[in-house]
Amino acid sequence: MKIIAPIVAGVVFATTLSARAADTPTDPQIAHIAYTAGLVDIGYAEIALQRSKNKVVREFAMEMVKDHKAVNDKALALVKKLGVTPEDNATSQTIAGQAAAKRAELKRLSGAAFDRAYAENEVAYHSLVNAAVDTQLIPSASNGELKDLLKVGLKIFQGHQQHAEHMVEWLARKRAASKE
Amino acid sequence: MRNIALHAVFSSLFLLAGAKFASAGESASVVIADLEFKPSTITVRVGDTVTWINKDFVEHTATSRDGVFDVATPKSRPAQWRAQKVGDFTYYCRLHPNMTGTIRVTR
Repeated sequence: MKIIAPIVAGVVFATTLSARAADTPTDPQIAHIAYTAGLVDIGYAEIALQRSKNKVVREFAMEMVKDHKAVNDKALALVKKLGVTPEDNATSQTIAGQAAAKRAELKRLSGAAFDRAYAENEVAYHSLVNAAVDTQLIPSASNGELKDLLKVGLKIFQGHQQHAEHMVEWLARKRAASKE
Repeated sequence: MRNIALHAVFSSLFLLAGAKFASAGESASVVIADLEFKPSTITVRVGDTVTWINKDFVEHTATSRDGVFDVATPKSRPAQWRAQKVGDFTYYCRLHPNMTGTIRVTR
């Protein structure tokens, strides 16, 4: 069940983006989707900072807050410069809706169970968002500066995914060592 | 007379600073931009100083895989490490492990 939940969420997320791709998202919609995705991960990190006592998990969460805020600040500055108003859309709403369910799930956990769930969710979430940015948002962006920001953002988020994968492995090794 | 004394003091300080700089070896720079270490591989000699200049809008680290160095490379502030032994040091960013580089240290 723990494995099925992220897969189901991923399928819904990917399906929504594919459906949107039929009518290619506009730049204002892309900006809104990217900004929402960043806010969602900041939300997960804030829960981690409230609930986790694990130094590695907390440092990762602090990094997520700083990096996603930095990317979102860049995005806001860009849309202001371009005179674009980010436009809410079905994809943004799906991301936000799924995140609300995940936040509620995380808030019911504590200790090592929370750390594990948070770390695994970070891998799954970044994997989904990275695929969407790479295959949907970047190809659909028409403004060059927005496209460039998405490309840099993708590299940052791919780094987060690898970092989260390392954290999952580290937590698993720690768990195994404690059982020996 | 006072001017001559001051000149002598400043000259001495300048020479001392120069001597210290010379003994510290050469300096090599790595620019961090768009989540890449540029150049990704550099060769320096023992005693040389490597300076990372982070031009990204997020923070990074330059962390050797063998634990020899772990340098925080904040935004808009150079960070340095002095090579102290011969070897090939592969390094990465702890925060974004998809960023990798190598420092080759020779005699």
